[in-house]
Amino acid sequence: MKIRKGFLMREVAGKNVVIATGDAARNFNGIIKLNESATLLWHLLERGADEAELVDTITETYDVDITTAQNDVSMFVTKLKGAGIVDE
Amino acid sequence: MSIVIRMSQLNIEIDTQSEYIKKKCSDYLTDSADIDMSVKVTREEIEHEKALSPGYTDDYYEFVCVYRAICMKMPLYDRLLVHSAVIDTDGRGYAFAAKSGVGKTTHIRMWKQAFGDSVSIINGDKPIYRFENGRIYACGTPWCGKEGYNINRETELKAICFINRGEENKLQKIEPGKASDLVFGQIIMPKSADAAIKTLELCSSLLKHVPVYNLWCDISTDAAHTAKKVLELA
Repeated sequence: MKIRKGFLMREVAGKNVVIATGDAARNFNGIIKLNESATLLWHLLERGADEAELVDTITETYDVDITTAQNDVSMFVTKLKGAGIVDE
Repeated sequence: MSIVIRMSQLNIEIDTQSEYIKKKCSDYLTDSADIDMSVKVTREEIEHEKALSPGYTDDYYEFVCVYRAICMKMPLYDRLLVHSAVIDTDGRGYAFAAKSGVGKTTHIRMWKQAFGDSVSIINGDKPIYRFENGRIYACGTPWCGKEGYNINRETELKAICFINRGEENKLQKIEPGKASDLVFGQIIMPKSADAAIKTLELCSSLLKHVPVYNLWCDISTDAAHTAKKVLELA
């Protein structure tokens, strides 16, 4: 999975936000705020990663069990796919 | 035919045949040949706008489209359209923003009632914020909402208030990380990457330099008195 071209992350007032530009902006309006763990996942998805890799990073970085990490990652990825932000 | 207007300290050339637009912009016309920005809207843009909100004249749609074209370019000139009503009192600029219908126009009328001619309405709805060396100035423009509140001058912005209806008149400062969502709701995001990135940078600068408040108020001059007491210290 990889973040589609045109989606950009920037910091505004200490929080990371994502916007769509160019062709990506045709189907996506608005601004998404990312929390700390979402920012971490975003960086991995910018260069391309599969769900297992994302789960590994979360369990290595935070004190969470694998089931919680899998659920959280799955929810995040589903949201990104639903909004057309990542492709397979 | 084209006209040149000067607003937010830029000379903007508008390619148009419309007498309506020329009239709307009459307070801002300049003879200067030193052009900072040029805009022209297409028939397709006008038709698109018409489809979105039918029932107005083509002149009106063109007027709306001209401003959109200008505002999409503004970030690259360190300027940003922020949907708000801006007043000036004693050389201090205060912006009021709210969801449509909550009553920002009603609230600024309370300031006029309470403080009379010491309050000027710079723009009632769509001012341009101009960024310069960590200071932000809100500028009058011919595009200003249905009441027509606008004057061709600027004021240094000292605070932004988000208006909520309340029983009791009070203000509360919002930390920048939380205020960003509110500010994002009042801007338009350009589609081109360079202007969009610049827009986020300007939002960041705005949140860094201008305090943001929640204002709960009723419809009374007391609301304006309460707000002024707090904002004078902002």
